[in-house]
Amino acid sequence: MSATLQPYLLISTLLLCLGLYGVLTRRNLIAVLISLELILNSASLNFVAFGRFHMADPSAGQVFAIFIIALAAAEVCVALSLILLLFRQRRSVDPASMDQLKG
Amino acid sequence: MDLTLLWTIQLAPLAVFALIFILPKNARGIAPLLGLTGSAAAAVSALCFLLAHAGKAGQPALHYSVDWLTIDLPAAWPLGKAVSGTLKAGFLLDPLNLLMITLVTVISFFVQLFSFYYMREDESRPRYFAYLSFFSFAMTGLVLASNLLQTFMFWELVGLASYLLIGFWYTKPSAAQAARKAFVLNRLGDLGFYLGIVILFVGLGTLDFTGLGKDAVLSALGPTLAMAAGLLVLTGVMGKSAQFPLHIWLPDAMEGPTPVSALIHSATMVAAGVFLLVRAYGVFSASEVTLEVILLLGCVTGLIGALLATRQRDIKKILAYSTVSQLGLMAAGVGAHAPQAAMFHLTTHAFFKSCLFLTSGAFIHRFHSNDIWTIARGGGRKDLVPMLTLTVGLLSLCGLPPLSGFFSKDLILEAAKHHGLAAFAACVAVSVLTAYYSFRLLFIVLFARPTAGHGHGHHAHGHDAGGHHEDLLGGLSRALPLLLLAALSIYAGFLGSPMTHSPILVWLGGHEAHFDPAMAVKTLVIIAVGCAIAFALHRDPDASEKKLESSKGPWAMLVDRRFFIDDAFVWVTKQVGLRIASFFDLMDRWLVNGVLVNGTSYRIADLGRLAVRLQSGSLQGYLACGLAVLAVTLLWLTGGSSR
Amino acid sequence: MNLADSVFIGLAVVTVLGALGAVAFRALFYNALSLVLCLFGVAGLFIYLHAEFLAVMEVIIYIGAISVAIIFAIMLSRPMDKSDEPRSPSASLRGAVCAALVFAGLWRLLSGARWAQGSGQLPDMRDIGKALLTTDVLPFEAVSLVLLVAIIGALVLSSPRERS
Repeated sequence: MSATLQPYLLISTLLLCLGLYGVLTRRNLIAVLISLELILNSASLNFVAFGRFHMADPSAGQVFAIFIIALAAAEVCVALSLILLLFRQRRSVDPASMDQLKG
Repeated sequence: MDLTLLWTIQLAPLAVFALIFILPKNARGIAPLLGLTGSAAAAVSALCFLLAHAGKAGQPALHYSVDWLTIDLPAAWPLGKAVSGTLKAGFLLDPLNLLMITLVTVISFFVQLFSFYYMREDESRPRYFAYLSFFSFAMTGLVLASNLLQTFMFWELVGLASYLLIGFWYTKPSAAQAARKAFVLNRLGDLGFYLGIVILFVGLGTLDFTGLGKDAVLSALGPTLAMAAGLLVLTGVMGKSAQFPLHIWLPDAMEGPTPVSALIHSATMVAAGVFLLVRAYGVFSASEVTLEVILLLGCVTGLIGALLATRQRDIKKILAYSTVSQLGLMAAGVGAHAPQAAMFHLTTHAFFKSCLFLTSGAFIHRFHSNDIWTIARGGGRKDLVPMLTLTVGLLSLCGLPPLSGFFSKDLILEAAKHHGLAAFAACVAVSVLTAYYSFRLLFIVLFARPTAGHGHGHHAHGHDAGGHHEDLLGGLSRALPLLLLAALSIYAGFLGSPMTHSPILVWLGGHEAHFDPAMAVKTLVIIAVGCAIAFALHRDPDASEKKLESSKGPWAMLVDRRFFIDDAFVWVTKQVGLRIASFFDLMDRWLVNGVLVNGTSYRIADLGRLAVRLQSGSLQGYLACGLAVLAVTLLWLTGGSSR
Repeated sequence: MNLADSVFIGLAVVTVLGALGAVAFRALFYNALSLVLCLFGVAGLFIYLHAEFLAVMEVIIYIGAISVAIIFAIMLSRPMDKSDEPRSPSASLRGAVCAALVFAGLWRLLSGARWAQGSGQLPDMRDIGKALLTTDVLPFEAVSLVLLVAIIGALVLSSPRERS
């Protein structure tokens, strides 16, 4: 069972969709960030799984996953500082309240 | 050479029209001279033409034309047959319109000359002469046109000129209203005319007069359609030539300046309808029914016009109704298979009626009134030149031999007699009435005693303005046209008289008139009867005026209300026209404006409101939309691939 | 069903449940803890994919650094046990429908797809290290630059002087 692609794809797709649901519905930017982490993880799971089963170069999938982890770290680092800044300025981190650009 | 002359006739008035409008303000004074020059050029060209070609019967018609539009339609709804043909533009010159063009240009010249006197105090003289020249241009175009469509276009321009000139004193409400009335009634007729043209073109593929012979029309259209086409074109004639029941605009058209009435509303334009009847005789004679209708309309129009003329006080109204009745006679002549006779009567009528109108203009200008009793008491009979021309014109109108009306009206009476008793009776009745109202006018002007107050006032006025009016130029331009037209209205009769072997009739393609003593006697009896009645009733103008004012019988009311024809038009307009209009008004408000225009805008606004809800400013909302679109696209694409 | 398969199923269930908890709980702190659980599951799945190095990285970086940073941020921004504001039902429905649609579309796509044949070789850490310093050296350097920029950016953004 663990030797085919299909279960991994199912898990990663579920992670992706749960992440999307979170991004679309949460009313706190940190929770949105958590959901984003889920999406990133689904992507790296996919890369590794494809690299394992369906790629000529066996290391390519894992290298990609490493890049994703690094970029996720950078993203979280910047995003958290932005969120904290926002919180200090507006006492709110609800994405629904961030509509100043609305015409 | 011929072509140059034709272009001169056609374009000289147009050039004058344009020139007057671009004249600088301080040079506007020469407008009358320009008008005179233009009409003189046209008249001289036309006369040259006439002299070069007159009398040569059987000569082929001159025909210059260029192809204008080639129409080639496939068979399709609603015609169901292929239409192909060529519309041409050009001149067609045969004896018929050579006669007509001479008539038009010569009378136009005389009228311009008379206007020189009549309009000399009017502020907007340049406009007047410009319009008059424009009318000449349109009328010559109408007469020279080689095909029906071209005729129609100039026909409309003539209508425009008539409208402009009737409403020349547009600040006068009655004049503006009369102009509108004439315009609307003419449009009513022209609608039918246009439909007739369409039918003819679809059927024959040509509108050239040379191709509109009786046999060609019959074989191409069949008897029913030929009748329809003839009747439709006839409605145009009814509008323009003031035939019953569209005649009601003509008396009102007398609101225009009197020379205009002489030129347009008696001699030339209103005769254009009769001219067209003769010109496109093939179309009308293709169906016997059409001719019968023309005869009937002519008789009815003649009777109504003559009856109404008997109770008018206004000299111009008398002449206007007389014109209506004479036009009826001409139409009756065409309907009675005598187009040449109608054309001959048109010619003589043009001369004596324009002479009469200009005479009335001379009276009106001197006595400042249209009322015949005022003119008479003001001393009208002492005004020798107009009195002379009035007598000649009226006697010619009655048809007293050897004046021109005698010969031409005789021919029509004869044709009517050949055709049937009813038509003959109607024509005789018209003739008796004509004699009656002519002599009534003459007797009232002749026998009225100048009242002291009136006479003195007008005398003084005459003197006062006399030095101002009656300088040599003014006197000449007053008397010359009157006398020349009177002379012409005597002379024109001999062109068609049996004594000279009626050259004009032969030339027009008819046969020589024969002197019929019985007919001449009948005519004389008719005139005598009319004259006797008039003498009996109007020997004493004062008494007859009182009688006119006091008569309140049903007959008087009927005539005073013009046989209720105007009222009928108003009633029909209110009952039918307004209903249709309000239906369309409703359609326009509800369907076009409400549902289509506003409906569209409201639906779009609704869409906009929907779109506004999408633009919430919420990031998550935008993202949800994008994702939904992505997902649906994905589903759609994979659905396609899995099949 | 052998032991390996049952452990695999267990890992998968933990992963999905962790992910569910990370979005479903209303208390933010529970979300972060669920994320940690989910990440552990993913690390286990990496082991099943013969990517032990990645599994270790996942635990060290994701759990050790990222999740902890998130928890710090949560504690800095609000009381720890305070719940998120309730979601509006329409927004939940909208999110659920979108997510379900995306899932349906993707799953239809994936289940109908045919993949290229892989080499079947099992990679080891040596290959990854070589790849990072030879074929993939350019992206590797770029990522290090991005990390540097991110660190400086975070410092700049959160420095107190910036506020005034």
